[in-house]
Formats: sequence, C-alpha cells, structure tokens
Amino acid sequence: MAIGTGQVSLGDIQTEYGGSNPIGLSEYYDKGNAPSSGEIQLWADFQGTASYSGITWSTDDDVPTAHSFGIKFGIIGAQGIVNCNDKNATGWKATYEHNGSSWSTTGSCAGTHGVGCGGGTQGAGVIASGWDDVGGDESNVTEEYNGSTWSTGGNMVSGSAYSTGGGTLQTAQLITGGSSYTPTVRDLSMTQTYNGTSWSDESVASDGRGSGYSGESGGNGLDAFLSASGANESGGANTNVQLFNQTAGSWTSKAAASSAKTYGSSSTDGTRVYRIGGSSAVDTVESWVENAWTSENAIPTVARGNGMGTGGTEASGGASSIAGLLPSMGSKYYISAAS
Amino acid sequence: MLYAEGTITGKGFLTHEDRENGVELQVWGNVIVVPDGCEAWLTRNTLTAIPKATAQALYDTHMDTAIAAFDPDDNSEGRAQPARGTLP
Repeated sequence: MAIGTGQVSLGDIQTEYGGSNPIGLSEYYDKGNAPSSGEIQLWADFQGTASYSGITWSTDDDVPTAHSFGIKFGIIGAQGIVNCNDKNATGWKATYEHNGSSWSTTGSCAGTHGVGCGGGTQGAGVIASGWDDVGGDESNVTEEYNGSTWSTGGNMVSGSAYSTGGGTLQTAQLITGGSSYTPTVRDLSMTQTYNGTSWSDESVASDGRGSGYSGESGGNGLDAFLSASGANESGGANTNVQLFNQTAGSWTSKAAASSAKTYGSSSTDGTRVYRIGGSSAVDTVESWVENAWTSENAIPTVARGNGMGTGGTEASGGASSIAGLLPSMGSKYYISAAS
Repeated sequence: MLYAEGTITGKGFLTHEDRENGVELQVWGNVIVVPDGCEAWLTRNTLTAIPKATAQALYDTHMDTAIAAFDPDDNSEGRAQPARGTLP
C-alpha cells in the first residue's frame, strides 16, 4: 500500500518499508525517491511511494486452445484474450475469459487483428489494428467487447499493423508505429487515440517503433503512456523508449531499455509497466517506473507473441503472459504477484 | 449466406444486439458475408445483397491486388502471403 500524498510521518515510512525502532532515517536510503546518501526529505522523497521487491511468477490454467499473438484485456482474476491472428489456427477469432479458476469461451470477434493492439477490462475490452490475414492488408477496424459479444467501434483514422499500443480502458487507447501496406509504408509515426467512440490523430509524431511494449504509467489514461523497445525499419529491434502525454501533446524520450525486443507481452499496474518475453524467444522480464528499468524474475518458459496489447490495470500489482508462438508456450498462462 | 460489397464502417455497424440476434459477420477483403435472415441488417447498413458469384469475383480481384503488393522479404511475424480462397 502506497504512502499517501498528504503529510508523511516516520511511522508511515516504517509501515511501508519496514525497519527497526528507534527509527533512523539512514535506514531508508534508496527507498522511495530517497537518495543513497545525504539529506532525506520526508514528504518530497516518500509521498506517494510504495515498497517494491519484484514479481514472482506462477503457472495458471492452460488456455483452451494454443495460439499466438492473441490480444489480452482484463486483469488477473478477470482476464480475457481473443485469438484473431491466424485464420488457420484452431479457435480462430475465439474469445476466452478466465475468472481466476478456469477458462470459458465467449463470443468471437468479427475481424482479423494479427499482432494487433488492445486492452481494457474484461467487461469492456477493445481490439484494433493488426494484420488482416483474410484480406491481406492492415486493419483499421476497432472491436469492443462487453463481456459476452464483440461489436464494431469507430474505425481508426488510418489502419496499421505491427503497431505499438493499447490501453487499460476501452475509452483510452493509443496506437502508433508499425506498417501499412499496398503500398508498404514503415515506421508509421501518427499517434492515434480512441475515446470509446472515435479515433483522433493527436498531431504529434512518435518515433514509429512497431511491435513494442506499452502501458500507462500514470494511472488510467494517456498522460503517461509508455512505448518501449520494438522495431524500426532501419536497424530493426532497438532499445528506444518514449513516454506520451496526451494533455501536453508530446512524446518524450526516456531511459533506454536494457535489451532490444519485439513481439512480447505488456502489463501495467498503473505505475509500473512490464515487458515480458519477446523475440527472439526470451524469458526475460523488466519493469519501468519513472525513469528507470528493473530486472524482474523470468517467466517459466521463453515466449513471444504471448499476449499483445496491455490488458487492464493490475491494481493489485503483478503481470500476466498468455499463450504464445512456440510449442512450449502455446497454451500456457502465467501470472505474477508483486511484493 | 448473404453477400454484399463493402467494408466495416465503424461504430454501430455491428452491435452487441446484432450479435445476440445471430449476425455472424465475416469480412473477406471488400466482401461482406452474413447468414441467411440478415436482410434487415444489410438494409440498415445500406448494403445490397449480391449473388455469390459476383461476390467471389470481387473477392478475387481484391486478393489479386493484395498478392501482387505482397513483399516476400517482409518477415513480420505471422504475416503470411495472401492467397485466394473460396467464399463460404
């Protein structure tokens, strides 16, 4: 539980970060936003902070059919994933919900969104963009989920595939980067946002990385939306990171990721954004919180295509990885808890 | 099956109520396919039913364009070479 943003006492800090009596401020160097030495300021260094030791993974129920590049929505305990990537796959277009105990199958989506973007909650999910495996082109279609069926949402300003983006709310989605086809255009820099009804061009260019990792780091909404790693046409996968602020209408470069990855899964607790697995088939996990990366415990098996989009806000912490491209990963559902 | 030329136009095109009423939409390029009995849905979306042979020809043309434009050196994950199929 985070320390409040009002008055901060020594007792508040000890409750959150532990320690012995009598309380000595030197116990709290490197905790919260405190420096590693020198002066510690109670409010400035600890208001709104929380202790964090990392995440621990466990294996949950297998998804009913093995698939890859499904788009996840919801959170651990109320999770969803829709399989809309490969027209030849078993359970193509099927949607699966996990209630914390088992998976069930619900309504199928209408379009095709290979390596698409999405997120939202189990009762209000959303998917958009992606490679249309049937029409042989990028998709500009948005679909909204109400807990049982999919309906069409507003079409994107411009369709895209292999983009970076998603969002934890159906009413606050972002997509940028990736490609469009016929003719082929790479590194799409348009920043598009969805408000639950229509998409808007934010008129600010991203660096165009596609198939990257993403999630809100400032609570629900798009004023601190992270785009991490992914690939550009020139140079391929890279470690670049940008943070979007919708109110300011800007992308700001942030601390580079430790490795160049694409096609992995993202999760966010609203503050900390996780990037989980990815190409080329790795089990590594890192998390970002302004403005530093932390190495996390690895997922149990290597994975890529293990749940695109961002899912919902994991308000209790943790992250998830759902199915994936490799035979060893095909139907595995891994969840983690934060401590 | 019912066939029409068109694409998904956005919000309201296919609603949750439509799905609950059996409108199982399939979109094959610029061809829309829905089950028999969805005439009212077509009308609401200002779509006109066309013969299956006409729909198949539209679909073939669309796919030929996509096939011609496909870059075989594009190794994006899961992006298979487009191929013609037969409408249901």
